[in-house]
Amino acid sequence: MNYFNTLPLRLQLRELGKCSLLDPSEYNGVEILKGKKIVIIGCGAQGLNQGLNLRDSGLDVSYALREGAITDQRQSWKNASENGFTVDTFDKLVPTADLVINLTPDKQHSNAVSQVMPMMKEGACLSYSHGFNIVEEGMQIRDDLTVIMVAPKSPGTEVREEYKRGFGVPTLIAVHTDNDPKGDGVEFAKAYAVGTGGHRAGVLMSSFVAEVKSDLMGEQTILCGMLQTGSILCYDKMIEKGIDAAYASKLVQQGWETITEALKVGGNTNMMNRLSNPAKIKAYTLAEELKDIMRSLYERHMDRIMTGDFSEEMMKDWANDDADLLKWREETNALAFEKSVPTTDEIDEQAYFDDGILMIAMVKAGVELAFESMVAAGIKAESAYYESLHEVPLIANLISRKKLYEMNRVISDTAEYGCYLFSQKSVPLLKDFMSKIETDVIGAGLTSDSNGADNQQLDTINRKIQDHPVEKIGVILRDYMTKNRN
Amino acid sequence: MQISIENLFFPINQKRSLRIDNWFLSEGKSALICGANGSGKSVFAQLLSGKLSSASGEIQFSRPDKLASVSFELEAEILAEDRYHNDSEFMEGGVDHGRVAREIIGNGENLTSICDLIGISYLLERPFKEISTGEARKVLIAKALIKSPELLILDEPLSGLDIKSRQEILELFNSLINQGVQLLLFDFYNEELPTSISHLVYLFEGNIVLEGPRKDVTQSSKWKTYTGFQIQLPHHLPDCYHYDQLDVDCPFVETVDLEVAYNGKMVFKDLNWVFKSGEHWRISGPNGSGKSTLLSMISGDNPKAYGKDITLFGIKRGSGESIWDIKQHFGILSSSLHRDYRVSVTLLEAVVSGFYDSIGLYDKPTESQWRIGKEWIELLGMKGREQTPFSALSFGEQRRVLIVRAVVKLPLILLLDEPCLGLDNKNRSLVLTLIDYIATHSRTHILFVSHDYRDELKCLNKSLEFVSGGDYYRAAISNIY
Repeated sequence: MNYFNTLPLRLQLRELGKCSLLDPSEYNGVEILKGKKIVIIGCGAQGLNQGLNLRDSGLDVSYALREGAITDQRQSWKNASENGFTVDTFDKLVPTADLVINLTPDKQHSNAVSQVMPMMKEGACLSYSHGFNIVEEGMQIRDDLTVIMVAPKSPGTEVREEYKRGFGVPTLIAVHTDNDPKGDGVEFAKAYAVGTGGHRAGVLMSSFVAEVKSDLMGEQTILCGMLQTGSILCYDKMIEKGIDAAYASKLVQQGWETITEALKVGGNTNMMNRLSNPAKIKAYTLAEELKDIMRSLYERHMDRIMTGDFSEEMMKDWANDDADLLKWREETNALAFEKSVPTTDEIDEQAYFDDGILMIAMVKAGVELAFESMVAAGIKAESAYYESLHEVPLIANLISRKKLYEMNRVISDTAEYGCYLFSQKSVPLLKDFMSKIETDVIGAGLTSDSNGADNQQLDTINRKIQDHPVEKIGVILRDYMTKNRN
Repeated sequence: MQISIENLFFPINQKRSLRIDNWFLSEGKSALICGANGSGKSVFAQLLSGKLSSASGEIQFSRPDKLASVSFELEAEILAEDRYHNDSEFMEGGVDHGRVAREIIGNGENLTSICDLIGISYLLERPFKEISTGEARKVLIAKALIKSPELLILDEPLSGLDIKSRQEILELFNSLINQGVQLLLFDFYNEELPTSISHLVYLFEGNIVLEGPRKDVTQSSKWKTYTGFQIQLPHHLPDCYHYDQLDVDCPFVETVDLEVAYNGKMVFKDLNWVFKSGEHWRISGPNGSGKSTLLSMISGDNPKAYGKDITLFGIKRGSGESIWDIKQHFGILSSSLHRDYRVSVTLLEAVVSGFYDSIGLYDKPTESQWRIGKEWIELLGMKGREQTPFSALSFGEQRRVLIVRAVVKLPLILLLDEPCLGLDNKNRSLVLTLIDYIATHSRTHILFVSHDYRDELKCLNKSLEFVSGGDYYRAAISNIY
């Protein structure tokens, strides 16, 4: 039963709009968690690294794993024990826990939580790092339990590395309005965030609803979907026009990562500034065109996520043993790009920009469209930023290391499913647009060497890029993320 | 292999460049290439091994593909590659251990014989990023030898190796030379350098100033001018207003039957150690015996410390204290800290981060903290370079900066794990003199690890030595007089 759909509009809007950056004065250290027993379910990258941080912050952490993982001495058991943690079965540890942190893979949440809930003691707290189970699956949690979410917006290793440096990674927290019996859910969430170092890089107070709806949108559209579609279209176009296949392969595979490195540091503005004046004008024009063509598709994705139709369709496939998911995954393996072999020659970093004008246009268009669609649906700018622009470099890095098939295989099934839906629609949608594309914007770079431009035109474009809301909020948030503000 | 260089030019930093107009090395001739920090040694080594391309000029090798090299930079590159390919996020268990030593070394028919010769067969399946400094060095040497090179470029190959390993590697070098392999060994000049290499090239401020048979060069009158130095003791230490308010009667560290194992293999056992006020310790032992592990366990950097009987400053570990509460009493310098210090800060910011025990600067330092940082920078001879990006400094310079970072708050305990790695004789002497001075003029206590025979600290009065106890190491504790 989709929880979001049970809410009246008034509450849907309230939950979607919950979003505020915490002020340094609002933290109370880890006081409320001192002396309490924390049990983490699952020991993957997030589980292990969050546990290491919490323990180093002075808290009592142990790991509860499935019986099989312990008796078989699997990696999760090995890593927890190797680091000196107590590891035991659910029934031994969960009843003693004051805070149970569910860090199992998203798809297993229903299972894991159903198993664990009956064992939890009266008035304990349950934490998630993603809200799908609560919002889309409508999991019902015992009335006496407090339900919170603490979601660091970085891979597990980075959560640990930044903590050890004396810093942290931006973190999202939320309290499930239906499960906050003592009204202290937010205090638990804040203390947990402080324990992992999140408070130093910026904590965003959000809601389960906002987190899920924006997370699903981002991953399907700009993160995985757009990069998948872009890879296919750009590679195929270059081959069609006679660009050397090995060069085309590497340009695409490493290109996303190279151009989004600029995005990571300074948003669309910095990424576009890497181009020459004429190239920037071209990229801007292409991006505007792309936005016009794809706007309705992005909005459709957002709409289906809001209504719950997306989750419903996907969960039907889950029940069907992931038939569609696996079929589409194999189709990815058959793509020309996927089978291509990249050149071993070095490509100069600037060349990725100069020869990848279309790729830059696609990233800019995708980021802005995803952001705009989320905001139009009631999600606030900060949340939209974290689920659109912020995560792009991560997926770009995955593609750079592993290409599309592996990228899809390792990301969550939810992201993968959404990615295929987006790609299946967007590739044909862009057919006409792509038929007019030449190699000057993908593969070979502009033919003229001149860097001249019309001042008026250039200035207008520069201002339009910087003035987009995703850039404005980006400047503020990136500042937070790179240093603590006193 | 013959090497000929013409009009080679490469900027080292803003003030200095490497300039070699004409240089020739004949077939089969090995050479020692020495010079102080900043003389251009590393740059020269990297230009020869192909890591850097010269701004102008040419280096010609008679057989360029029969060349191999070993350096700190290589180690950093390997670790960076592992970090890039880190798949922890998607692996069951959440930890990607990276490549094992065998994968780093590569394939070759002489793999077994080389590993036996160097003494690393036991660690072939261990992850490269998890082995000790000395062990990693040996792996890199094996990696270079696997290609049966004619010419081997070695950049400070002996730093960080324990006495036994150093002797083994020196013997290895001697035997390689006998077999006809040419060695170009870059290091700070010291007597220990392999005697089988008699040709010495001396660099000073980017130029070759002396060259010839070792005996002749070191006994020449010019030698003293280029290598002599004087260390001046500071007038006083920069004043640090923050004093540790700890009960001095309480031991700093107390361990009971401490033991550590990695993946089921016991490293050391039965360590009962008490570290009290008034004591300055030397910690020694072979590579891989657990020295760095022990130190990281007491400084709050090692998760292995949990669940063990370790009492720090009167509080038992695991009582609810955070690692930051512990770190505030320590000033730390170790190879792992150096490896991890990969943030974009200036030299001055790196130093001031010592007040906050952080890697990078995330707080707003006070006026006096900036001032104290600058005074220390001047004491270590780096005045004027405060705004240089840390990452642009050479290995040795970074090391000096991290030493300053460790001492800047005049901590209760100064934990120095191979602090002089990468430092030339002058800087080594400066640092050691400074540490002795600090030990006698403040409340700071020293914990010191070093394999280098040149590292003498007068202040040390206690010794903890890891000795072999069969399958694992044990600690032998004694006084130093």
